[in-house]
Amino acid sequence: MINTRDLTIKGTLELLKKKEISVEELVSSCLNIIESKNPEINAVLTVNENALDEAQQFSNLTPLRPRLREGAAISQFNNKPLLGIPIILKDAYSTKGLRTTAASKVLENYIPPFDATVVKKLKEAGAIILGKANMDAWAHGSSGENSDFGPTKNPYDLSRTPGGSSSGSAAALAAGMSLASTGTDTGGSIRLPASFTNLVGLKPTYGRVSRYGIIAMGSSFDSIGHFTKDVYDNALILSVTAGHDSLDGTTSKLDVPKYHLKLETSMRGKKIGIVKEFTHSGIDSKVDEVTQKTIKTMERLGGEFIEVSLPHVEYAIETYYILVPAEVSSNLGRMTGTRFGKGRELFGDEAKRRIMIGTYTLSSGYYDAYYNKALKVRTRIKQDFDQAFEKVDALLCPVSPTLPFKLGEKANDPLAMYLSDIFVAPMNLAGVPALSVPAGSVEGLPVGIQFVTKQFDEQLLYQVAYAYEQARGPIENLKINT
Amino acid sequence: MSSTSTNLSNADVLKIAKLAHITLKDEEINTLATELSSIISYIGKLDELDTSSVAPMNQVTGLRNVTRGDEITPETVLTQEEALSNAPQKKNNLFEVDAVFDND
Repeated sequence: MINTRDLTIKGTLELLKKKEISVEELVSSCLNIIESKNPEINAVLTVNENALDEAQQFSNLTPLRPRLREGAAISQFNNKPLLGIPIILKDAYSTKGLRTTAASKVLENYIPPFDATVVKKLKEAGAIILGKANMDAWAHGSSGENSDFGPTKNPYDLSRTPGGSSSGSAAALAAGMSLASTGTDTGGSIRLPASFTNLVGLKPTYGRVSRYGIIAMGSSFDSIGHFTKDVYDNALILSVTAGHDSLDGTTSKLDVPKYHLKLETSMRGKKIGIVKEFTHSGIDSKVDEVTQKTIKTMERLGGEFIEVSLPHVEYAIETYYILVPAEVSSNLGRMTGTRFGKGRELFGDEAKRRIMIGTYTLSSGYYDAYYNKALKVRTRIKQDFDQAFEKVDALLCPVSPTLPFKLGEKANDPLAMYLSDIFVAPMNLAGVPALSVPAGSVEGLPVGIQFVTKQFDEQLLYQVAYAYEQARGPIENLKINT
Repeated sequence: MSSTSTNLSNADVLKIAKLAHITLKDEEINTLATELSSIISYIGKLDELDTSSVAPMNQVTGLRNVTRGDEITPETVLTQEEALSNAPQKKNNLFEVDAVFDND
C-alpha cells in the first residue's frame, strides 16, 4: 500500500516516471483508504467502480516491459500532465454514467448522460476519477451539515466540521483518499474547507474555469476550483482546468499559462494589502495570531504591507444573501421531477429557505428594494476591490473568523452559519481569485490564510502563496485522527 | 423597504411557497415565518446605503453579447435514449407530464 496522505501530485508523477510505483497500485491504495475510512468520515457518496480498469490503461507506461524506451514513457506524461493521478470530484460535477446527486435526495438516483467540461479536461489530462464527494446539498452551506446523506467529519477532529460546502472534497483529500479533489466556491465553499483541513484551496477568477455541467447554485458567483496539498499541485491543476469554453458564455478567452512553471518570484517590494474592515470583525484571537505570524513571514520576504479599505464589504453578506438565493431560486426551478430527479417535496430545509428568500426578493413589489438594490451594492463592492488593487498587488486576509467549529454548533442558527463567510464571500461578489493556504495550527486544528489578487491574476496569486509556503515550512502539531 | 424588521405571517409564507412551487407541511410554516423574517430583516440593512448614483452589476466579467454560430455542436447532442434515461415517466419516447387541460 502506498501512503497517499503524504504524497503530492508532483512527487507522484516523479515516482510514476521512474516506475517506482504503478498507477494501479496508486488507485488501489486510494480505494482501500476510501473503503476503510469512509464509514467514519462520510466524505465520499459514490465510488467509481471502473477506477481500477481505467488505471489499467496506463499499465504499459510503468514497465515491467524493459524494452519500452525511456523517452516514449516520459512523452506520454508530457501529453497528459495528470497521468494516473486519482482525483475525487465534488458531487455537483456531472459525470457521465456515474451518479451525481449534489448531496440532495432530489437527485438520489440521477445519472448524468454527459460529463462537465472540467471533468472532460481532467480525464484528457490522464486523471483517474475515483468518486463523488459529499457536500452541503446544492452547495448551500458552510459546514457540510446540510447534506441529505449525513454530514462529513473533519479528519483532524471527528467532532468538528471540515467546512463546507465542499466538505467531502476537503475531508477526502486530507484523509488520503485521493491526491486532489474538486469543488465549487460561490461564497467561500472551497476556501473555508481548505482552511479547516490544512489544504490549499483555490477560488479562481469567475470565468477562468468553465461552469458547464456543474450543477448551478448562483450562476454569476459559482467559481470552479480545487483542493491540493500544496501550491505547486494547485497551480498544475488550474493549468489543466482553466480556459475558454464555447459551452459557457462567461468564460474568458485569455490564454492559460502553465502556472506551476513560474512560481518562483521575489516578494521584495510587493505591496500587500490588509483590509481595514476585516480587522474589526469579530475574529477569534488565536486565529488572528496566525494571521499576524503570516504577515511577519511576508515582511521577512520583503513584502510591504499597506492598509486598504473596502468600505462596502460591511454589507457583503447582506448583498450575498439577496443575490445568491435569488439566483438559486431560478436555478432550482429546473428541478421539477419531470425530465430527471424526484419531486420538489424532497428539498431539505436550507434549500427551501434559500428558494423562498430568492422568490420573495425577486417578486413584484420587492424586486427593486432588495434584488436591484443588491446589484448596485455589488457594483460598489467590485469598485472597492478594483481601487484596492491600484494600490497593492495582493491582499492578505483571514479565511474564517473561528477555528473549525463543532458539528451541531451553528446548525440551528442559519444566520450564524451565514456569518462564517464574512472574509470569503466578498471575493465572489467582485469575481476576483483567492487562495486559502495552510498557515498554522491552533489546539491541534488547522488554520489557513487567504491571498487575493485582481481578476485573472492567478499567476501572481500562486507566486505570492508559493513564496509564503516555502518560507513557512512544515506545519506542526497537526494529526489526522482517522 | 422600511428599516424596521420584517414580520412575515403564515399567509405570506404560503404565498411565497406557492410562487416557488414548494409544498410545505403545516408544522413547517411557523418556523419558516420566523426564520425567513429574521433573514429578510437582516438583508434589509442595505437600505442604509445610498446607491442612487450607482448602476446595477449583473455579472462581473464585463463580457457582452457573447454569441456563437447557429451550428450543431455534436458533443452536446443527446440521443433520445440518453435524454430519456433519467425520466421518471415516459410514454412513446417522450417525457410524460401531468395533464394541463381537463378532458371534458
